Amino acid sequence: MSNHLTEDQFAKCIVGRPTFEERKHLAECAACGAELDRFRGTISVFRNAVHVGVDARIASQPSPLIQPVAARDPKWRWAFVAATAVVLALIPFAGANRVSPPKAQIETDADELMRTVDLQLSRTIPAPMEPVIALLPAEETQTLSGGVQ
Amino acid sequence: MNMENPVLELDDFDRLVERYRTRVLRFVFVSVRDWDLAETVTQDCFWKAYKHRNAFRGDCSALTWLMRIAVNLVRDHTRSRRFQFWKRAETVRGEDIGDWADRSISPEERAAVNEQVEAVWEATNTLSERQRTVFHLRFVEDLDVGEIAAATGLTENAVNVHLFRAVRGIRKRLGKRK
Repeated sequence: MSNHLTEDQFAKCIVGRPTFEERKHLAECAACGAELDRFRGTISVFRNAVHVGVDARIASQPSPLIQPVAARDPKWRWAFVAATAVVLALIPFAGANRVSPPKAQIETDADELMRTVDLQLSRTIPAPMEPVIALLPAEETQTLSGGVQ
Repeated sequence: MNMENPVLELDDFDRLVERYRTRVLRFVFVSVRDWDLAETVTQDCFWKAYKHRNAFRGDCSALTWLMRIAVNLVRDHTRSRRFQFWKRAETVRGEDIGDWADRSISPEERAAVNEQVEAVWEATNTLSERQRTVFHLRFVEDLDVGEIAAATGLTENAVNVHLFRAVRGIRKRLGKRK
């Protein structure tokens, strides 16, 4: 059987709860003392690397404002999805509730529309050009426009 | 510092964030191993602390109280399915952490240091959630057993048991790499 500390005894020493005998052994045994120092050194190197890395990361960024991240709250996200679904579902019915104009008005509107169409078809030149054409003498107007129908 | 009355520390919340953000972020980062998630969880931690600052009675230090919130948030995240999925694509690896080591040392020493850091980083990943938490709080954040007990909700005896198992597990893992 070895006279050195067992793994459990090492772990107790590292955690900081060695017994009197374990402390005594560490003081007398150079090999166990060196092993304990080696492990503590490894943990210390790890600790320092993490500290350096995180400090560098923080130094490269401005301090953020502390505020709730509402977009990640599932409760609000589902409420938004439900509201959107309701709005989309109501769109087809939105037109159905519109009040229809009286039949006489529809006929009047149709007559008015036909008159406008006839007027546009009877033009020999586009409507925006009419003020320009009006400035020309009558004979030139007939030549350019090809005559008034 | 208002060590006599930790409640007073919460009066100036901006100062509290400035003072403890690094420590909370560091603990969260080594726990979740993802920068973006660590920063989100840290922000959540301070937001929760701000929201519930009136509930803080000062029975522990402000840092321990913040760490308690952080431990709970980390636990919630690490148990979520989404985290389990993304954990497979770990963004920060052992070799990245090794690169953070002291740049003033020689390349040979640095290679040895990188190897040690990488080994501990990987070894802590094999620990249980509680073992990893108490290990980080003890050996990275330098909290004592009483503070770890307050931050984790465990008894001091339970903290010692988890610490003991964590150290034994890491030693076993490091021994395998030789």
